[in-house]
Amino acid sequence: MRSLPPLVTQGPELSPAQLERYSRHLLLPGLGMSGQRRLLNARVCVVGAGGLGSPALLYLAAAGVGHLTVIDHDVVEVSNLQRQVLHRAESVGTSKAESARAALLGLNPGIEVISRHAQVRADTVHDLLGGHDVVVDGTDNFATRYLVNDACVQMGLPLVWGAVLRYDAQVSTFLPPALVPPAEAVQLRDLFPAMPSPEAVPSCAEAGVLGALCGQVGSMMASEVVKLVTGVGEPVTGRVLVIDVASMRTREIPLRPASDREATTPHSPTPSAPSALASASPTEVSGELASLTVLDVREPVEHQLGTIPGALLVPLGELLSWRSVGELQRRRVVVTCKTGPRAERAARHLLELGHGDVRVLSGGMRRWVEEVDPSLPRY
Amino acid sequence: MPTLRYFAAAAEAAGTDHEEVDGVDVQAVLTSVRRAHGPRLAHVLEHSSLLLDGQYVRDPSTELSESSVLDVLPPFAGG
Repeated sequence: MRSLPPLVTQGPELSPAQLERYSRHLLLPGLGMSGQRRLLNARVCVVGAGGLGSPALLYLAAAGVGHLTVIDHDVVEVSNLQRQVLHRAESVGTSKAESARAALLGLNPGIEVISRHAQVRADTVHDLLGGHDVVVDGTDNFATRYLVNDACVQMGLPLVWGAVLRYDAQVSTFLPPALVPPAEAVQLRDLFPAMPSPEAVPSCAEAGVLGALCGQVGSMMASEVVKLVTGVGEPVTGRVLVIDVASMRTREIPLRPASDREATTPHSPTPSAPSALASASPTEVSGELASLTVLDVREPVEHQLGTIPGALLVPLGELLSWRSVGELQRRRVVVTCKTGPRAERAARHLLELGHGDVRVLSGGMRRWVEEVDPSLPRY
Repeated sequence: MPTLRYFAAAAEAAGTDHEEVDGVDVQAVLTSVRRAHGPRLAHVLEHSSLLLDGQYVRDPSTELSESSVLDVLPPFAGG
């Protein structure tokens, strides 16, 4: 096992109240008094107070990380509560960053928690992340993940990274060359050099995620932060932990720097813009239903929650296996999913197969429910 | 023979989490598993990272040895 020197210097001596609160850490070989003083002196930034951010933040606050910054621009939604254990039912509709701050200070009033109700953008990311010792990525989309990664690489910040989907998760700690030999200084772009297009990969909002898996992975991320700050143990760096909670098996993938990374790392990622697809608003579709075939490319369980009258269920995976459009060739087609990305992917496939009249329902079922049929559940 | 290890959606599409596949280079091995497992795996492969002994594979003509391990990891961004 190869440990690293602690990232953070020791803060002041512990008060009697702190000695009592952190006694289980003080007893730990390797962590002890000096480790706890480092934790209390640490500045940790958690991007995203969602499925991964919730457990990570709870354990970091409980561990006595002295200065926590929580960045999230969303508000708490009912569908978050299945896994985002930091938030309470009464916080629905309020800022996630603020809800997180209140919950964390309720757990540990002896730390500082700064909430940033802000979106991470190319022009704000350096200001938001700067001044911290470690960054934790618990965000829910590729664009923000690459922004955070690239900023951490540019600023030489350690990044604890995790992602979840369905029953699967990936975790790794990306360290800058100042902390480890060059062969071990890997980053997100060594694993996935270019940002995948959002329509190629489903999100948790589209494909679901097991709530307790988020707890497992967020806790692992918090452990990584504690280890980095105190110098205890060996971080998961130069390797990626892949967790399959369905079989409850964990495997490791070794990770080395990509051979031609320099040539392929843009300063700020810009997703390649695919050609525009034709779209139709919910009102337009509602008015033309009689002359249209609507394809619902969501999963069967989503379809059961309610769909557009007459819509045919063809889950995206099945549609992508089509080698011809068959009888649909003569029909005007509108494709829908929950918010749009899967429908776009499906529409492109139909166009590639030679269909000439394919549109995407703009805003997906989310907008349909808002504008046409409010009796259907939002999920 | 080179070993392919499939993760997450790739394992689901291949119906196994690893297999040995004959082939002198990455291209040959991928052609063979596309044929064996069909369009679902082909779709996952389009978007997945291939890591050969821990290093991202950019060039499909990269040669493989008997002891090569090729990891197939799909990206996901959920948090």
